Amino acid sequence: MTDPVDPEGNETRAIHDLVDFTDKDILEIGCGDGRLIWRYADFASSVLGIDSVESDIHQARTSTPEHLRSKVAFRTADAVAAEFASESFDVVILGRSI
Amino acid sequence: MDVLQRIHRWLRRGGLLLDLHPEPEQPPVEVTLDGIRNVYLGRIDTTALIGNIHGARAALRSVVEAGWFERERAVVFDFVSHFPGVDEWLQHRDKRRSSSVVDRAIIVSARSALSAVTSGDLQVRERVLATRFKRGRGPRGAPRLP
Repeated sequence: MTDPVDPEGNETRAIHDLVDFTDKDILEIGCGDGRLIWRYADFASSVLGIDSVESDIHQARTSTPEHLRSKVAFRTADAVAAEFASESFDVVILGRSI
Repeated sequence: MDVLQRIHRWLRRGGLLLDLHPEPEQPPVEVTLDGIRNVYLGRIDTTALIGNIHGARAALRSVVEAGWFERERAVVFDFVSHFPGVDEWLQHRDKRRSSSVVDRAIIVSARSALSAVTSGDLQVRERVLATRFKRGRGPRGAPRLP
């Protein structure tokens, strides 16, 4: 079955209307299985997706398209406890996660 | 609030925060029968989530008022999920660990409507608010987080 979610592309249009992802380093918090990442990662310089659910991160890793593997990474982590260096990202995305 | 302040620290100067969350309302469920006839079945009970949404909005307002972020622009869009049948819908809800509640009458009505046609499409329509925030300077004299 194809992805049943937003086949109209309304979400994709909205996020690209709000943010220019070109060559940006991006952190997505609460990335789940990576569903949203696939909608902008082609344009980004790098993407790190984090989620506290290990099975979702496993799914995201296994479904990462080959051409994105060099710039998309996933980590099981909670934003409350995660540690990143200051000023590491150009864009942070909160997808239904606060 | 604390997570949003941590995000502020992780962002470069001029960096952006993009927040997406549903509008605080109950999404409708509909079926389209044989590609021509739409039937409204009811609404999903998202009462438990709506409290979280109001909490998230309050947290975002707080960090804007405190100077951590500047609210720049927002759009609302329809986020529609399509399913060929009720089982596919319920499996999707399980996979997403959905905490909303679907009245049994909606499930019964959907099964009945979809079983009477050769092709059907069950749709759940959420309105989602997407907001772009720009990293602000932060409040004067605010302590740096570790």
